[in-house]
Amino acid sequence: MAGGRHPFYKRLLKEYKSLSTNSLSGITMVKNDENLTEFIFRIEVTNHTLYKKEDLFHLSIIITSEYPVDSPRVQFVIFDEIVIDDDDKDSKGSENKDTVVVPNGVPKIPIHPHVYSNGHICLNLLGEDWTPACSIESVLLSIQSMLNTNDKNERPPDDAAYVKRAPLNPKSTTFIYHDDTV
Amino acid sequence: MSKNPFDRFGVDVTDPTDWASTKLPRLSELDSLKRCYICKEFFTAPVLTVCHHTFCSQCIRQYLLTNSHCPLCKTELYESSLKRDMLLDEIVTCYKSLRPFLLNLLRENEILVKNEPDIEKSENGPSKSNKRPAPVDEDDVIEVLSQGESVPSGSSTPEAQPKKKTKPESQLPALPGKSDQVACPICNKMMSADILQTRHLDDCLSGKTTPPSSNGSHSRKKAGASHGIASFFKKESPVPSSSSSSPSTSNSAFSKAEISQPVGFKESYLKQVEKTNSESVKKLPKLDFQSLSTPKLKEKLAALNLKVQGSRSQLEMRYNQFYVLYNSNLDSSRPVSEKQLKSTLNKWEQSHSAFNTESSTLFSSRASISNRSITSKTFSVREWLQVYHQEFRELIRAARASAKKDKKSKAKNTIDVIEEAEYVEVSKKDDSRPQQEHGSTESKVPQLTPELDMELVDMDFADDIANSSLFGGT
Repeated sequence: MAGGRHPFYKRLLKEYKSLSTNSLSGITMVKNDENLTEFIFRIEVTNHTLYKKEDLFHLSIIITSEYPVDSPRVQFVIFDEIVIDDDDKDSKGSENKDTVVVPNGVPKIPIHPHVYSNGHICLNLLGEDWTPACSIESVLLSIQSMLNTNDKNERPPDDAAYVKRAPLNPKSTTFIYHDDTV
Repeated sequence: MSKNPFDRFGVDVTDPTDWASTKLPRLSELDSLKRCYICKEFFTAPVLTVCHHTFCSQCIRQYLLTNSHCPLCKTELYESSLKRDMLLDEIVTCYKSLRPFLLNLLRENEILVKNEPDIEKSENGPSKSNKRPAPVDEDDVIEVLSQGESVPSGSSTPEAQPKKKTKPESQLPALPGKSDQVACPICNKMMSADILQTRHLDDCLSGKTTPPSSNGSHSRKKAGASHGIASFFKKESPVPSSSSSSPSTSNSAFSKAEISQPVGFKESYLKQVEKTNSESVKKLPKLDFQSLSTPKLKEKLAALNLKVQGSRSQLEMRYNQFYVLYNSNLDSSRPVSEKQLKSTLNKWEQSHSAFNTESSTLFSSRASISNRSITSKTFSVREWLQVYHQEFRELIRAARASAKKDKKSKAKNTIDVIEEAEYVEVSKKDDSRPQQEHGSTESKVPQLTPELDMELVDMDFADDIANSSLFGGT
């Protein structure tokens, strides 16, 4: 994959660096590939009436080849966290094993009026309002705050219809932004 | 648990947060102001938009290929309205060349304060790695030091001790001065700036106390060979900084600083004004691909000495990318040769997914293909077929079995009307393809849609699938 490095690899390195050094509260990087184009994050929502402590929300972020001109592909996924890094024997690996706590809980797609049950997220930042000045971090933060401020225990109004016909890639959906209140 | 890519590639990543650990953390603000919002790097050939925002020429041109508003404020924006910012270009280049030294200097003091003994480690990038625990942070500064000779050590010179408390800002004015006596930032001795910059700094950093009046010829040679700090101040002929425009990772901050001339940013700026006034080089035109046939497009590419292989969309992307590279190169005060642009273009093609159908590594190959949209342009039908080959087979078998059963039951019930109608339709559709081709099994079950059957027999239906209405998005 040496030739497959992203044109904006340097920027991705920077984002990765800041994500892994200054950790955002409630957001954990669970997995990433070596080209830094695919990430899985765990988002924790604490002190919330709707989301319980044992709910695990995993967000998959895939960097397209046009990034940062084009928005990353973001959706909630059901992801099982299993520590398999036994071959990682250097000091860093062992250190990680002590610190990384795989929480017990049920992987779930969060219930939210803007999150479809297949994990697709209806968020303007991920579509037409994306600009290259946004970053992975800004996506994570806005999704976390989207969950944090939610008080409706419901799916989007057209959930069943959408999920039935939805393309695999949420980026190929043209979302109609139902309401700006939530 | 995530791998650390910094160890593997050793890429030079500079970041405004590099300043956070220095004596003057607010420099990070200055640092980030000189960075492009798109690539997060220092501006390369900065251009100003109509809404007074600044981006790298290449970044914003690339963005404007597909968008027509400012990434920061959404003002309507067109490529033709971009204006070069020559002064900023020089400022950034100048700052870039000074940055490693400045960073070093401001950290140096900190080390002295902490008085860390690290002589045994000093050979490959000393105390920084000790002090900052995260391996991620091993960036350019380490590279700078590892190229130099064994650098500081808290216990180096007794003279170094009193210097600890001095604010770094007070030393900075010493740098540009050429004729006046200045204080060495390490040992505080007064000497001429020339001597300080050419050899004393290196000596002082490596722990030797050279009297400032001693004959310089020997130590000067040594400093040059070892690429010490003093080499920052050496005058070198201006080399076009190819490094800035190419995404290659080979150059460290140090070599960048080395190739750009230490003085003469001002002259370069003034010369640029004259140069642009007499500029005759034309920018590449934007092509309207819709009114251009593929042979015509190939002609255009050939005229630019670009490759003409690949699909239509690859040709278009190749032209667009070269157009961006070429035009942004014209915005640079240190333009690179066309040859270099082409090698950059090749590198870009290698890394761009449309030219490169490798699947991702994080998820298993099967998962990765199912993750991709069937309607996306880059969707590989062949790959899909390979992955799901077995599954398709099973489905066909099941379908045939159920079809047979169906036929029998229908025959029993003698409700043949509908089925017959279907059959007629099917065979009409299949006129061009004689039934024998399908082999013996197929001819027994004509109820199956013949197209589907054919495809499954000889796996050669990639094009059919791609063109069928099911995949209308392509």
